[in-house]
Amino acid sequence: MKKLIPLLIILVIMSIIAVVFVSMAKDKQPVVIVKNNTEMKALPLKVNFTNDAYCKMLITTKRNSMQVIAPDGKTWFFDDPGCMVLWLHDKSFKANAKLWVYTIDTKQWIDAKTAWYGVKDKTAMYYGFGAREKKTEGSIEYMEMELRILRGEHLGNPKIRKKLLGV
Amino acid sequence: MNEALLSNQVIVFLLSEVTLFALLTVAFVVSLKVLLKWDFESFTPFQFSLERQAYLVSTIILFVFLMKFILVVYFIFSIDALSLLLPGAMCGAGVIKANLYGSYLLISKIFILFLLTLWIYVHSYDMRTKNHQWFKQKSWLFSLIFVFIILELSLDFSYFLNINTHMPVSCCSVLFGQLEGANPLPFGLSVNSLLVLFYLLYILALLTIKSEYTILYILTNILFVFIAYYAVVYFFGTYVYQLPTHKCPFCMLQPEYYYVGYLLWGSLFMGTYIGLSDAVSTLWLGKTDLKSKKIVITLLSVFVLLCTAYVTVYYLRNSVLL
Amino acid sequence: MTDKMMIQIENLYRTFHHGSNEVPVLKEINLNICEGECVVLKGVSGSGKTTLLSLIAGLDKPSSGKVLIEGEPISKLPDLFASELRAKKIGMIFQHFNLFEHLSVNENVTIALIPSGLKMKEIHEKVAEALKVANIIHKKETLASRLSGGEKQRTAIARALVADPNIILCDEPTANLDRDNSLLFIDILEKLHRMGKTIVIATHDPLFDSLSFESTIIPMVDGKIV
Repeated sequence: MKKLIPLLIILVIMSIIAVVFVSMAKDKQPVVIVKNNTEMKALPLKVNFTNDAYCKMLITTKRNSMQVIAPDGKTWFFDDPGCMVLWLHDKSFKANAKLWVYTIDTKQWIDAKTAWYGVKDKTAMYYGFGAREKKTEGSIEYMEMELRILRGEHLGNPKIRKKLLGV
Repeated sequence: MNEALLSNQVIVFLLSEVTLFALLTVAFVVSLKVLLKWDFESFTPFQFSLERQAYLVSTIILFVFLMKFILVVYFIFSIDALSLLLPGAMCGAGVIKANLYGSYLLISKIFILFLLTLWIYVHSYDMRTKNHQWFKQKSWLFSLIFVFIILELSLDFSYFLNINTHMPVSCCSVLFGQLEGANPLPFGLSVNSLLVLFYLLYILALLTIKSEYTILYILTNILFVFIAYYAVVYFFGTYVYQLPTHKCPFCMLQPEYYYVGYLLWGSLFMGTYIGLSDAVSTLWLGKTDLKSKKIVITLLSVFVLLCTAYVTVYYLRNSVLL
Repeated sequence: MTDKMMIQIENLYRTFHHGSNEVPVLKEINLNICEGECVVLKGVSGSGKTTLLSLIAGLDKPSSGKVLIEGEPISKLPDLFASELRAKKIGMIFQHFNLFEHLSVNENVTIALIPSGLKMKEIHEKVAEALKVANIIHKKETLASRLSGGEKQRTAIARALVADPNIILCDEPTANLDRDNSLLFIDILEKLHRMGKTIVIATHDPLFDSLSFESTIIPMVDGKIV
């Protein structure tokens, strides 16, 4: 038995190394924040692999998703314009941040501050502000959308929902 | 003055810490003097006086260190009791996270207990020599421990003074919960591979403890504690609570779970402390103790068996795993 | 007697402290005792004889100086080792016998060997041998409380001898004995001297002034050897 112990030790160590390396190779942690995006461009969004920085949910669709890029290149992702507004409003770099939104009409990333927002769209967190590149009837600008979110005037509010959707 | 500071448990705890610290300060001053002037080969009145003081100091230190072990258990009990005072806290997890100092305090206590065990080992070997062979090593180790204990005491006060009973704290489901899709386990391990690693490290610890591969044993034991923590929180604990979403290292210390957490964590940490102390003594002093190795094997086996038993009993009762 | 040094005492001092008072009990004791030698420390009560015996036995630690038992500095040994040395190499006979009154002669002597780790059969053999040498075997089942002074002293001798120590220390061994029993005690001491034991006796009994076997008388006055 004593002679076997060194052999057993080697076998166990090899097994441990194998388990750890295989796990590390398969490691797929969802993305929460990306650094070094100093060009402040909209980054490709990995659907079902990126977490909303505010509500922590997995982003399951690009529709109405947003990106906030701080001046130092850090990039956060959001599944709903409502989450983005609520997260950004107390950040010190708010005024200098670059905002991108993925539109539902042209299906591309555009500057969120130039987009138009519907008020009773179906969005990931049910705030109701769907993003469009082209103005449509009843759509509002970014600043108004931001104000409405901060004042609670969104589809998450039962009174607003009843008023807009009748339910 | 916050209500936490006025609770009975905290008052008793802090008073005990201060008393033990006062004793250690006396011991430190005397032992420093003894250490600097120590000359065992001398037969002068001064050296005889130093030997008597050394014996007194060692007795004080041994007493205090043994009390520290009890006090740490009381600390855990106290922060668990404080969960009733803090909004949002369901167990010690939330209380520990009540301010910045909690985690550092807990980690420092866990680390200091290892150093205390090591000192007790060196002391017991020293007392078994005719010429106090390891007196200097013991004394320098004590000086190092004393520095850490000063830090620990300041963290104790910083922590308890800064608990705000009006500020809600997170409960364990937030603290130990995970981002949707995220994996909280280290090295990207899945739960199955975590368990495989857990048992493999346990077997490796058993294989190496009685071998001459002391450094390998030390590394194995440290890694085992690390993996065991995750295994208990993210797998075995769920069987203690019988709830797959309940992941917490502290709730199992509560009476609803028959205080099994004390036995679980106690056996893991005591086994680790004794094992590492024996291994470090082997490397540092060239001394080893077979009885200690048997105790370590017993404690770690109790820990592993207890964890496994919870899963086994659940499966036998319900014919399914969580 | 051989040239092997059994007990070496160098520059030994022992001072007791009572509050702020210092009471020097032993001053500058230097003494070498060879194997097989019989030394009688003679002095009145308070001369430091008992204190010196305690230091030789390792029951007390000096204020300064060396006490070596077969080369081992017993004065420096931790209690654990001093006790071990004492159990193996030193037998002590006290003035008041220090027996367990509720135990028999046999049990009193057996107790001395219990910590030795020997098997019971061996212990019984050694006890029987020691009782024979001390001439008390015929009373081995008698309770100590029922023994006369002389018989108690012989039991104490047997207990001191049972571990076969090289050194026998006697502290006022005849203080509680009548003349006849004292002479019987001295006869046993002679037997031990012939066996090659090193004997140190602290006494003020004049019977020890002229022993029939070779001995050295060392007078002590006020903690000093004169």
